[in-house]
Amino acid sequence: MKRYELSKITCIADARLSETIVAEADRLGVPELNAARAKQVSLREGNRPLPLHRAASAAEDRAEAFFFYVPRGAECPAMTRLGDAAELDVPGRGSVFAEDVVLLAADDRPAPAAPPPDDAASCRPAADYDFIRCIVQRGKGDELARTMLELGLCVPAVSYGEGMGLRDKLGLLRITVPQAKEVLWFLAPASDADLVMDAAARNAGLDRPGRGFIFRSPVRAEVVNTSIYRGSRRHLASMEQVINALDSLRGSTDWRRLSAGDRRPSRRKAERPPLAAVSIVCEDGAAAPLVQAAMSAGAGGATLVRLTRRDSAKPTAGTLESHALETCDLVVARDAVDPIVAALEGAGLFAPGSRGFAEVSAVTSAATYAGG
Amino acid sequence: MAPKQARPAGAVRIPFRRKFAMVHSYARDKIAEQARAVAFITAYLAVFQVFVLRAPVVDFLGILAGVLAVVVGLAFFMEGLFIGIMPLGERCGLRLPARVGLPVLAAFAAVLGVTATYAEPAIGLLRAQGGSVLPWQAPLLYFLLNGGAGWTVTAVALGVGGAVVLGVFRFLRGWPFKPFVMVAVPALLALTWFAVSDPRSASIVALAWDTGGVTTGPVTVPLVIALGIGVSRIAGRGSGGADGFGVVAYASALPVAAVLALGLAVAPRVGVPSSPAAFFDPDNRAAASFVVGSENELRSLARGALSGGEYLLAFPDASFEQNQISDSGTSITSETPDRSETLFTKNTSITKNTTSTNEPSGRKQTAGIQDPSMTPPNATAASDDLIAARGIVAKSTLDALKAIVPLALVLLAALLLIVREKPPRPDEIALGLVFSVVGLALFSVGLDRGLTSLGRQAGSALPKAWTATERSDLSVEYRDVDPGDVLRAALPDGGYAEYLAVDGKDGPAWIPFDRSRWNEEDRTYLHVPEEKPVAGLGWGYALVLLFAFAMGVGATVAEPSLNALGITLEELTTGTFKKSFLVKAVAAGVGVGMAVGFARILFDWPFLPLVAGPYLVALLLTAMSPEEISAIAWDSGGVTTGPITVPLVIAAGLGVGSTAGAVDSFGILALASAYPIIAVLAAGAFAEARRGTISKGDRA
Repeated sequence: MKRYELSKITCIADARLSETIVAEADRLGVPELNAARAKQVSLREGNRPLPLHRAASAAEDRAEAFFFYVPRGAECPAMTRLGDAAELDVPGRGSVFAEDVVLLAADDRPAPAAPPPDDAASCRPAADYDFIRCIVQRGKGDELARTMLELGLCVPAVSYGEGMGLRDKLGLLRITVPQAKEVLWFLAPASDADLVMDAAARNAGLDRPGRGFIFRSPVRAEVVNTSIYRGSRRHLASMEQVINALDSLRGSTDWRRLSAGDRRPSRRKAERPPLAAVSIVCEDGAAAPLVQAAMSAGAGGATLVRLTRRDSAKPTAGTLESHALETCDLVVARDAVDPIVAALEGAGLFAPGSRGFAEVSAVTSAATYAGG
Repeated sequence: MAPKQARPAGAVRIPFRRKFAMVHSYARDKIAEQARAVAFITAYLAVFQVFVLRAPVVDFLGILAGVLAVVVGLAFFMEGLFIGIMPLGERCGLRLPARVGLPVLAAFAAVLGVTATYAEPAIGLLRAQGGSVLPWQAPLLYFLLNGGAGWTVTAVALGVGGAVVLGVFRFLRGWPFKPFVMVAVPALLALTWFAVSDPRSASIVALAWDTGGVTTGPVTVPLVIALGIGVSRIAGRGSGGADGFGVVAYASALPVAAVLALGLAVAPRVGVPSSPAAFFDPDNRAAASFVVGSENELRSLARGALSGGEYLLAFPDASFEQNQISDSGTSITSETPDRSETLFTKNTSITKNTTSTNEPSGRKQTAGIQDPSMTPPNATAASDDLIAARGIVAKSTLDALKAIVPLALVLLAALLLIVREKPPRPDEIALGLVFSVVGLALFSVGLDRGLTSLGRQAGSALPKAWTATERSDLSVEYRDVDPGDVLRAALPDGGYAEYLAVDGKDGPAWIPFDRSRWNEEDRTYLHVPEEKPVAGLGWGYALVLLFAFAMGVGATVAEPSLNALGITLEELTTGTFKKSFLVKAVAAGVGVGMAVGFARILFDWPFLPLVAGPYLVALLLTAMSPEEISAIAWDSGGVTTGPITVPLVIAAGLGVGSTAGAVDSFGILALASAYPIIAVLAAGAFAEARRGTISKGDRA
């Protein structure tokens, strides 16, 4: 098993930009670009003739969530190049952010990270954000997305997934338990993340059993899609553009935080053990035994999200390498990471020839029904 | 709050009550979903029949039971699709390309396509639709539906097989979808024009276009889509959109081409449409025998169609016939069936067992040949009914097994023997396959007893919309009628109408006097009251077209393959392309297509411009639409005509067609497949316009 300390770059962007991003990642020398299907949800201002239903309706745009790895320290220029290529600074197109991860893969597996970009100088500063991931039952995501939008912090992205865990222990009776889940991703300024997470947990009823799971991890965001309202632009710049300009003048997003941040009493915080996320990426169909192994080593349930390897290479004759992958995040206590990694190794994730890998990252906090 | 708690591995024990509750709520949800889908068409058919056409619903309880069976069957079937057939198909698509080279993959796809056609034999449906075709009116059509049915099925199978191969290659190589349509549809239209311009093959174009819609059945469509999704996932192309779509469109287009090609190839061997006498003329003997299959067949047909003299002229050796041994070695039975019986037994593979359907009494027979399903039942005793019901159940179960088992075996064989891998969650897949068989069987039993029966009733009552109906059930015999009492009423053109005064409810009443019903010997007059058309001719036609439109909409909403397509699409696009959006657009399209199709029958419009028009509009819209929505639109054109729509169209089409005097009711399905393409493309363009651009120049 090889261990790499890397930066993971995630770019959630409108599906119409996908080809641009794939091409730019290719130019960056990214060896493996993976993507999950998603949608970005924003609010469309009601423009009905009568002032009766002024409430904004949700507008959904197909999106893709790409991720790839670069060496630590190279994330800033990589993000800048990606952001420039896809013109993410135009409101409503997407977000790009980076986090530190430890990647574990088989010894004979090609290195997963792109080489550092040559023009390291051209780099815009990134702000501290928290990347919040929330998993809810299918159908509950729209309401949660709306709540997040109404907080006015960022445009959430929603992807579909399948729940794993308890369901697989039911025998055939499992078909009666819906496995379809929705995975919501959103970025909140680090200073407001607590507030957002609380609001999300309350809205989704996560303090009740079987409702879902939420966790957040620290990231550095270069561009955040803040185009919450869609509608006609009445001024030379949209409000989001004005705010972005102020953010970069101020050097942070603190000036527009919603909560008093550190002054808030952080009850419960001390009790919590430090957490980590172990993300498994493997070939389609291979995750089930891996998750089983991880669960017997102490992990809770997991939600499976399908990925597609995206590359611009032309297919070669003969059999082809599968582009179908799947991923799931296991959020566990930091002490449990080693036994789980050992269990994954036992289940063959790092065996020679395996194309899968595991990625360990820090988790600031998590919330779900704690059992009773 | 804390992160998820670790749970011990291993099975979880659940008390029985809890298990029951879980199964109960699961089943309730699934059944409620299908009940909503089926409710509209059922209520609509019943209400239209009772209130608009003023014909009673016969066998109400039986129909109710049938509709319930449809709902439960659909619930089982759809669940079976989603936990059994589709995962199996997707896994094959995901694994095979990584293990085998293109030739093996192509062979697999071809086998799958051919199996799918033989498993879901649509030819039975088409035969039923062409039940009133006479060999001398349309020899080639008759041949393709009867003696040459095996050839037709083979042509369709080759078309579907080729379509699956083409689809798989497209996903692997990342070929775009639109060029195929741009080439294939004009080519098909040209082929159609070519066929139409030859009187021998003109009769088959509507049939050929219908095969395209009919071949893609409720098992084939989801399976092919799942396979396509698997293949396009492994190939990793497309921008996270609706990859995997487009194959159904191929599978609709290629069979049309195959059947047209078959027809054109066979056409020189059959004669031109002619009179019965010319058809049975000894000079035409070789071609005629070829059309009906054998000379014996020809003789039995001729016996019904020709007068005695004509018959002897056509078959001078007829007197020796009784003891003659035919060329093919089969002896002629002593009682040669009459023509109509032969036609019926040959043409009614799906409607044979349905004689329990009661005909609204007193239907005026205007066409020479009647659909067998519309023959009044022999006194159906309860025991006969039971035997018939048992027969239907056995046949439906057998058909369901035939539709699912061979396909499942092909997929399992590919997984186990070629990929050498167990299917994912084998217990769930097995349960899914059982569900789909049970569901499909229950569904088709219920369809036959319930919806289709209702459709047949409404369809046969439909001509009442514009024609007068005789109510023989209300007939009264008047004895000792003196023709001298008949009152002559002058007509403006110099003729006169005759009336007879009878004792009515409120004193004397005049009834029309029809001399053919007056029996001179015993001086009796049989009065058969005539029910006025529901509306005048123009409004009556409008009523029929309205009926067709709403029936198309209602049946489409309940179609399982369209729903499977919609759910898959919604899943693939993370909910940005809603199932309800697709179903609504398609339903509207089918409704319009149906109305146009029925109008074609009523007014005897030519087929080619009717089908070319919408397809040319669809091509134009396709040229302006993005790849993805194009593939979805053309696919939804293929899935629309499924197991619910087709029998209803046949029933209503035959009812209208026989009264309007049409040779066949083909073409409705083809038109019902064309308009949804326009509807989906237009709706997609509208949604796209509403969405707006993502500013600063889209790059997609």
